[in-house]
Amino acid sequence: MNEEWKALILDHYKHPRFYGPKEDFAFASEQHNRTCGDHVKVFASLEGKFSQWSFVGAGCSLCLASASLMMELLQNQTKDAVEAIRDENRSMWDGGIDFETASRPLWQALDGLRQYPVRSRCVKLAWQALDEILVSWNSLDISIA
Amino acid sequence: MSIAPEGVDPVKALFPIFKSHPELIYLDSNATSQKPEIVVEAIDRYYRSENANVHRGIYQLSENATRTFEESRIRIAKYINAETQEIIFTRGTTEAINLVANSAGQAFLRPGDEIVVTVAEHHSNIVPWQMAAERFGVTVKYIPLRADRRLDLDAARTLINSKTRIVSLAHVSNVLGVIHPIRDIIKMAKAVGALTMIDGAQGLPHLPVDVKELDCDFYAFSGHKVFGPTGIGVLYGRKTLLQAMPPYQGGGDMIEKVTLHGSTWNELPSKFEAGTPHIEGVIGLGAAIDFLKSMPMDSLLNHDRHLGTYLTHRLKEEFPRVQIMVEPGDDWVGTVTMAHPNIHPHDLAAVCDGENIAIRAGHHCAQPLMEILGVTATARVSPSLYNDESDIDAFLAALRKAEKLFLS
Repeated sequence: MNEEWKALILDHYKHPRFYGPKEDFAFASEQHNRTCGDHVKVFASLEGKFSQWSFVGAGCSLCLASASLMMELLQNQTKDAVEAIRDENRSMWDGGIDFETASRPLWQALDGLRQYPVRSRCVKLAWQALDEILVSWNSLDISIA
Repeated sequence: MSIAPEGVDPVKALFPIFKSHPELIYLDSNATSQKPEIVVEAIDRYYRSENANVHRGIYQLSENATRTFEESRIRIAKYINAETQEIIFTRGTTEAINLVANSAGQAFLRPGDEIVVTVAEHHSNIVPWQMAAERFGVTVKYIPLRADRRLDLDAARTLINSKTRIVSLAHVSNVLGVIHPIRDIIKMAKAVGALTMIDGAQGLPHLPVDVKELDCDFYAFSGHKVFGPTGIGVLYGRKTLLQAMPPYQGGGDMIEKVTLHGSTWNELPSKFEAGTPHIEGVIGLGAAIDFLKSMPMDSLLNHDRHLGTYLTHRLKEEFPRVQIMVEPGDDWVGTVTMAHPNIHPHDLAAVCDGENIAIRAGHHCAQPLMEILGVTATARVSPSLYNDESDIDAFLAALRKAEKLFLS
């Protein structure tokens, strides 16, 4: 990983954005990494179409920085936009993103990690929580519709 | 054995990995050891010039392969003072323990019996017994640790009683590096008529083993932790017990006669070795045992313990934040397991990796023990004969770098 992205990861690890539990959450999901005991809980609340996000957790720099970077991406997004971000993240792991030209700093920062499959679990933890929240969000929309 | 070129550590010169990666500082030998040239050569020779199936062919090549294969068994048996028939080849320690939990379980466990293990075991010496408990209607009991993280023998005396049928524990803890007082535990088990199983995965790499002198009923170890190949391990079992136990798996080699109405079992050790074995693994393990025999075991243990002690002292002096899980002692093989309040073990391992240093981070397949230590994961440095003080110095420099990165 290059120094610039390393600094970005360390910054988010030491100063996680949108950190803290939410009282008024509409959705929450807690995920554990069996190999090291790390855990992340993601909260989402809704204001009309727009979503607000926060998280709490304990883990290594990649685990918590990944969650913090995810928070920045998701804040105030609609469900469609959140799903698009989730899909972009998925295609990052499938090799579907060209990292040289990737627009989001997160994808670029995480590029170097693909060679460490063990640590990919650290990075994915918050994103697994997002997957679960989207399932709930979609089923809520279906029941309202 | 090869002669080291000038400037190359003579012990490192015996291990080809350090020729491929001269910069590598390998401090994860409890996970797996590096392989000496003679082991690599033995496997290479088998595939290049000796490859044939064993115990089957009526031709020279197969007979030669069978002879080399069985000679390994003889050498391994001699090394741990067992009879040749008492050496069963398995995929590793894990499979050996599963074999005993299943077959000895079937033969000897009755509902209401108790199995005693310790809280410091690797998952491979906990889970098979939990599965056996479910299957045979027995209970698993755990010997606790004292505050100094040594086994609580007073508690063991109460836990091992007339209900106990099997006692199973590690010779050496993979996380703490503590040599368990297995002779005391074996005596307690014998006194109540219980069987004893020793997980020697971390024992054989550091200690001479004589199964008759130990008087244990089963002793298991893995090839890859004693400078041999992966995928091969050994179960020693007392002959009379192995004879009384049903086979673990069915297939070729393990049968005497097969009819459409049923089968009868082959003699030991074939009864427990169904299918074509891991031939090159056995041959490589034989070479690894030769390598081990060429090493003075006392100085090997002293070497690893010295490096662990050196690391422990320097950690205490220079890194007061680091929590060290056990104090060095005569009952210890030099494994240093630690937790840093501000640096996650994964992050420490990643910083070390950046400096070409391999250490282990995680729960080390011992989650119950992690809970007792009050952490979810730790970092572990496990030295072996190819390490020296300069490797420990390099680790400490990486730790300093990590502190700078994460504490600033």
